[in-house]
Amino acid sequence: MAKWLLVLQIFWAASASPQTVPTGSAESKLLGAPSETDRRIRTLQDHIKQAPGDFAGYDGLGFAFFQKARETGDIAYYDLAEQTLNQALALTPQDFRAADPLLHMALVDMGEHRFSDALRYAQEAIGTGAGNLSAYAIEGDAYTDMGDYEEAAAAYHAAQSLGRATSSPLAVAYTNDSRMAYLRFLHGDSAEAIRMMKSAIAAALQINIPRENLAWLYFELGERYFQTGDLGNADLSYRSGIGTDANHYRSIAGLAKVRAAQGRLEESIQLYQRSIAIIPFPAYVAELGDVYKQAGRTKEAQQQYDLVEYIGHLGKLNQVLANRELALFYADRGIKLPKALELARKELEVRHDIYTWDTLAWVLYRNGMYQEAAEPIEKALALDTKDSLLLFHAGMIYHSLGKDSDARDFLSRALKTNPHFQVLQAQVASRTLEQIAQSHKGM
Amino acid sequence: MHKHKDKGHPRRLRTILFLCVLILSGATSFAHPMGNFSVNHYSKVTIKQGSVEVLYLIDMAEIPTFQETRQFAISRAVDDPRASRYLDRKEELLKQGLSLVSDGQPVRLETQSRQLTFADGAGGLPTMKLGFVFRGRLELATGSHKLSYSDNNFPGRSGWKEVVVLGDGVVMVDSSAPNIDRSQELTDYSSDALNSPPQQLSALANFRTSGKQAAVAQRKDLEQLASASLSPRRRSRPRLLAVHPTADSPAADSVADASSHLINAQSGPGLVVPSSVVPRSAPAHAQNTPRSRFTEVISTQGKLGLWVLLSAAFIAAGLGALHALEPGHGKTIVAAYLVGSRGTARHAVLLGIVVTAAHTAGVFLLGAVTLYASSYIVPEQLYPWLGAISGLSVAGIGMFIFLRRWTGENGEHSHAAGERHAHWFLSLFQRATPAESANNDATRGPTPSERALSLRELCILGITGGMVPCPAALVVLLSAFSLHRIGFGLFLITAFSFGLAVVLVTVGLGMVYTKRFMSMRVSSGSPVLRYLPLLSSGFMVALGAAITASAIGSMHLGPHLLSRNKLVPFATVVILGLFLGMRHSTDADHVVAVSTIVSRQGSVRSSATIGLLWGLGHTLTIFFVGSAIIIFGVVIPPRLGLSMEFCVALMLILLGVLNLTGVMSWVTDHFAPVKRGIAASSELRDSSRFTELTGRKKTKVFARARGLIKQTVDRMGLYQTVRPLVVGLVHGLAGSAAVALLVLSTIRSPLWSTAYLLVFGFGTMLGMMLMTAAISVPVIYAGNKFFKLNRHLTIFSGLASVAFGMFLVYQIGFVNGLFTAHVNWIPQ
Repeated sequence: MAKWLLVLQIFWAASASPQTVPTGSAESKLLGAPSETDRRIRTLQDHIKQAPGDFAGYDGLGFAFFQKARETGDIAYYDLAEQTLNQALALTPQDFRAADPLLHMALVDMGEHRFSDALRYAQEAIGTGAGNLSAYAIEGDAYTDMGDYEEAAAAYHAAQSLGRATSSPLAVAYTNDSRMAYLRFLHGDSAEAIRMMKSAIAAALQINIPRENLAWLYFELGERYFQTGDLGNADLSYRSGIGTDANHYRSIAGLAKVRAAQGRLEESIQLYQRSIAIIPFPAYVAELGDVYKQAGRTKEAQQQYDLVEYIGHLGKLNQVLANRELALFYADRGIKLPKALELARKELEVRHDIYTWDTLAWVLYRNGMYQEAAEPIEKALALDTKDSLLLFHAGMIYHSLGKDSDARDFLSRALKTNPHFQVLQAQVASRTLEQIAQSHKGM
Repeated sequence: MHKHKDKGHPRRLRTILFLCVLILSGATSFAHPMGNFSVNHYSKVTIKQGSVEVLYLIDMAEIPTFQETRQFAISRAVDDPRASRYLDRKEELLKQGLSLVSDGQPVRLETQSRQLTFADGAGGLPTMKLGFVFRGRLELATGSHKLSYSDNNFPGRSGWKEVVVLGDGVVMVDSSAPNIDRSQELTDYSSDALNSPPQQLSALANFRTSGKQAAVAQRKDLEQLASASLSPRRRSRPRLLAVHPTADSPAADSVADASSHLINAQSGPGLVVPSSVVPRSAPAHAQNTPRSRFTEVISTQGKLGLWVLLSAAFIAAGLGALHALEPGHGKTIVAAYLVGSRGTARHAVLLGIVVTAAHTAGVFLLGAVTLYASSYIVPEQLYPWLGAISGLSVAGIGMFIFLRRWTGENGEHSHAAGERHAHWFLSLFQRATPAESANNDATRGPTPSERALSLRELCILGITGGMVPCPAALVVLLSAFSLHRIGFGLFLITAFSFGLAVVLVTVGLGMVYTKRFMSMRVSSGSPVLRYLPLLSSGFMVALGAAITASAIGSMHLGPHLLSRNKLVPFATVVILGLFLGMRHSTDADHVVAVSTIVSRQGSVRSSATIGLLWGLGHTLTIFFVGSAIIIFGVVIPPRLGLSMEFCVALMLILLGVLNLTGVMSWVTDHFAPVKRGIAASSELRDSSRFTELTGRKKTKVFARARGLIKQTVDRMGLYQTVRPLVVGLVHGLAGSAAVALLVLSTIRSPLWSTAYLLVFGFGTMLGMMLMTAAISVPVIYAGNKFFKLNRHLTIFSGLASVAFGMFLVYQIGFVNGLFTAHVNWIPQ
């Protein structure tokens, strides 16, 4: 047979008419250069091959993998990070030098939403006595995500006081201010949150941190601005994030959200597509679906919704049982409501922060279990967070419970805080508000 | 970029190969090893003389696959026409994202082939792999050059990003990309902390071209062509793996066991989200199987020009002809049948056509079966069975003819009523007057019964002879099917069959006519003619048995199964050795060598003796060398093994040259002023052959004198005895190692192995004896009576011998590298 192929091939090659190469000035773009994280990974790998017993090398590599996972959203890198850090921990002496691998391990666990593990590692890192303020900061993060806000504040506080004694003010500001800012926001102090975010960014700009981390700070600032309805500053923040890291999919999606709020739907769609092309983050896919729907392109909207479901299905295959984003998505669409309830309840087993309570409340509401929704939504509002989505959910739940004055209060606050908090839901909010007003007129 | 070209036809011609998904062992399937939403890149840039080839693969995990299949409404079903359009679109998009710059000049990439395959990912959800082969022309002067490559597709998306740069026929100075294929074309994603997934999307390479290198590359191509296209002994198995001819890509060979690497690939046990990061056995073969050289060829873009079609048809016909000449195929059977059954020209043509038709039908049938039942039946398993069936049928027919001749029943040709009940040899003698029967055929035509019988025999024989389809033809057909070029495939098969038919009919006609010539001259009492039909039918039985045996042998049932049982080994060894030996005697080089000797033999008896002597020589070497290998564990180094085979080639050339010079001397003699009769000339031939042995051309008188001396020594003279024996000895040299190794691999016991060798040798002797007898019969009688024809035959066999010898010299010396640094000897 081989003779066949070869003989024929020779003839074929001979018969193929020669194609002339166009002599144009096609620019020789040499993109695709490895990112700084990739370079760091390579350098550390080479280093470890030279010095196989160097625990610091393993630790650095593990942290670089963690960074890579953050940038790409690829959980395979979490796995590599964990492997490498385990190796580092095995090599590191059991003293203060183990603090770094331990706290990096805590970061990996945070990334994989294993908050209790993260907390354990962070506390172990603190326990080594290395005086590492990041260890306190990560402990605080774990507490925040688990809904233990007082412990979180205490941890941040400890970091703050330790940092004042041992670290440079810039490092303290960078490590702590962004975290404190979020806590401030949760407690309803959006203005202070924005101020602290700016301070964190100012500090970050003066110390050498990875682009992605800086972009993250810009994105967070954008979120705070957006949540206060300040589209102009949100726009600026998100664009700074994109400018810092062109592949920062969160910032791109944030900008898309601003565009949608501004009614520039086509631009919004393109931005969302750009973001999804980097990482198909389900929340953003769903938002893109909403924007499509808003633009009257129901078929494309449905495609996005299908994709979210598909990702959810994959998550299930991957044994990701708790998934509040997916629960919220199902609830918003009014589909698979029992499944949504299950997911939300599972999430509550992992953490009980205000957003998990909010999710549960909203899923219960969509399941028609209005009475049951009352308690969770109260817990969600316990910190008096000025997040339009929470307020909107509360308004709708109180409306269903017949507490129209409360409902009107929450709904109008939601719209006042951020009139464009969500492309589709904002309309629902104002419509419901009109309904309430009319029914009261009629009475 | 100029993209306003073709919209329809060439595109439609450019087709896709779908591969059905494979085997993910067990019920569990795993997520894509690179994460559910990864898009994995792989570029293998091969820099060649005058061109650069980019194998570009994109492997999409579940989520991007879902997005693409939803957006473009494609399904993983085979034959989805939308998939073709999707590939059109993707091809353009992806090509735009690639940049290849040579010495500052952008290189335009032309698509050579492309494909789309699906594989199971998490929970059986599909993942998708796109594969393209792009080629760009490099018009480079001798000297140093720089090539830069970058892949800008799917920026920012996570995944495995690998670039491999290889040089083929150029000297690579340096390259920023490795020349080692790590993922084996995205089939093995194993990684660990120190070898994390590569993130390379660009490469910069410096290389040098030089005239010398170009010559080397060209020679390499030629060698490949020669080794693949002509070697009858080294029939290579169908190459389905697209192994690139570059020597420095060892990974390509180990594609098959890519998945075995996965065992050591990591996963964090006992974690919350482990299964998504467990590397699964990626579609180990999905990518490689369809990418054969032929596939690349057949899917080459562009229209099929007229002369492409013609040349393809020409090549196909040529290959068909070659196929017909391969041992063990229809030719031998046709010849034997026609010799044995007094066939007419009409029979010869008919038989040739029937064999061809059966062969073509077999190809189509097997093609259809393979196409529709490929998931259930492996075609390779089908071949031995078909072979066994056809071998048994041939043997059966041979036996039938043999018995009929023997008993002399069925007086289809006894025209004298009184002789109908004569003794068998009398009737045989009577019937063995083909001139009469030929006359009968010509004048009144066959009787109904005879006609029916012959036709039936013809059909059965033809069908069985042609039943085993040529794998090459089958593969062409299947490739054409899967490439949606069915018409073209059918066309090629038809051309192939045409070539086959031409050769078979020619052989048949040649047999019929030479036989008719001799039968007109031979006195009816010749015992040779009396036994001839018996001999040829016996030969058929043997051949059929040999085909069956080799078919059964290739089923891997025979030796393995039987050698375990202590009671049967003797029978096994005897039967198998005998049959395989007989089969072995029909190898091309053996036939060629013996026919040069036989073509100038005096009688069937001495021809058969020559065959026997050859077989004896062959057996002796095989037995001694083989026993040495088996018993003493002698290892034959490749160079020695090749040298042994090389001896055969030299001997073939020598024999051929001797034949030719013999003819030349005959020519000079012929134009000498002395008149002579037929007998004298035949004498002269003998003497002239003797002349060639002794050295140069001698005078006529001297030659005549030597011829007389020779005639006295004649029949079993020293020379006659020694020559075939030596030839056989040399031949044994070439085959002995292979045979011994083969035996060793099946029969463990040294005793049985050597016994097998002996029996094998005996079988070879028997087979060769039968064959020389069968070959010599027409030759001798044509030779005795028509020396002109004999001269042609001698020239022909001489030429064939020289040509075949030369080919072997080239094959052994250069392709297998006897004269080069890298000796590549695979005993076969």
